[in-house]
Amino acid sequence: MRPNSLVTRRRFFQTVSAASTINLAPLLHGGGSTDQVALPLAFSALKPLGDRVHPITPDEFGQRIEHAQRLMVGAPPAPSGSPSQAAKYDALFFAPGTSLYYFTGIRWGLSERLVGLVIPRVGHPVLVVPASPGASASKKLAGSHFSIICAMPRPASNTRPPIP
Amino acid sequence: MIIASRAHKSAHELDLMRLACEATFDVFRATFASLKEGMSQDDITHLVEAGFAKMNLHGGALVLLGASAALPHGTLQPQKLKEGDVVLIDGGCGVEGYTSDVTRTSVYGKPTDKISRAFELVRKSQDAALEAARAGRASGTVDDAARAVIVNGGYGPDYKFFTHRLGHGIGLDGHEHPYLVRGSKTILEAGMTFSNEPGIYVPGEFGLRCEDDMVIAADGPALLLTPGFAPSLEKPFA
Repeated sequence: MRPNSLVTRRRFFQTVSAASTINLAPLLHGGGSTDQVALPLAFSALKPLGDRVHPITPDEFGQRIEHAQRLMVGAPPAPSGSPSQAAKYDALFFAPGTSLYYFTGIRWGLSERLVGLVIPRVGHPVLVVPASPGASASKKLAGSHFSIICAMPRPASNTRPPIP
Repeated sequence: MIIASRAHKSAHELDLMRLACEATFDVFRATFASLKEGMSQDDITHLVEAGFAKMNLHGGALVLLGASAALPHGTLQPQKLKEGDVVLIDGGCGVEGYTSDVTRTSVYGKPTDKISRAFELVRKSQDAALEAARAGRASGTVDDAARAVIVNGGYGPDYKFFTHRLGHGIGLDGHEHPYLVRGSKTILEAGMTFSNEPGIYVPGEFGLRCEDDMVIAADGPALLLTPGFAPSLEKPFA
């Protein structure tokens, strides 16, 4: 495959990584009009996939995490490790991206606010979320397999001195 | 380790990828049926995007016309579709994050014999790749099998006309490990999914590529995730 550096192709992959089932206004780029442009007749039969799409279930996400934990236990020795000892991974960390989505279904972008997943070799996976939207994220994930850590709690008052 | 997880697609993941492929076929079919003389690459891209939007999907395509299709990214200069031009559309969409990647090439009007013959070779190359993509084999051998068809057909040597690797892993990322590229020793395993996209690019004349997505089976050749290979240059979809 050619390098995908053309703007159109990059835009395609970026938009594909965003929510794919949001109801969209017609995405017609170029031209100034925001009105829906009539599509040719051949397009009239196109319609949403609707209930043919079955989202990945919480159980499936859980199974993926458990599988990763089993892989960590049986992981081959690291190149620098002693060949007589099986090296283990103690934990995996995922920042926002397709692998975070793979294990949690969470779509997020990179920013100064840390969102991430820690999968320990043993025990509950831990989701790290920003403190402020963290509250609602925690509620959303209540009942799921994750422990939640809220990063960067809000200061008690607005009296923090400016950074020199 | 994560590659080991994500590279092996579950039945559910494969269903989602098949849906993305089917939707891509539907949008591309409608687009090819709507081509008009004078359209630019952007005009056609907009049609594809609007088609996916009508299906409530995020999707798009790279569109290359005529001689500029010989270049990987075409040209920034707007082209106007005219009689005899190849039309190469390469794109896809995401369903629950699982992507499709499909390319179809057709000709607006009557193709030359040279283009017709090149298309037949590319299709045979896809067949050879599908046949070679089996569990237990090294992924590089799939590129070898596909490339041999193109080179033996007179479009060689090596990367001279078939200018890129045969295919890439695909899943939640449009391109993901492993890759169907010369020399790769990664062993193919059941559940791995790839693009199958040989092409022939003749500078100054035309470029053509056919791309479908496939999954490695437990036994035997790989299976298509797309509804089917292109029947012909004149009829890119069944």
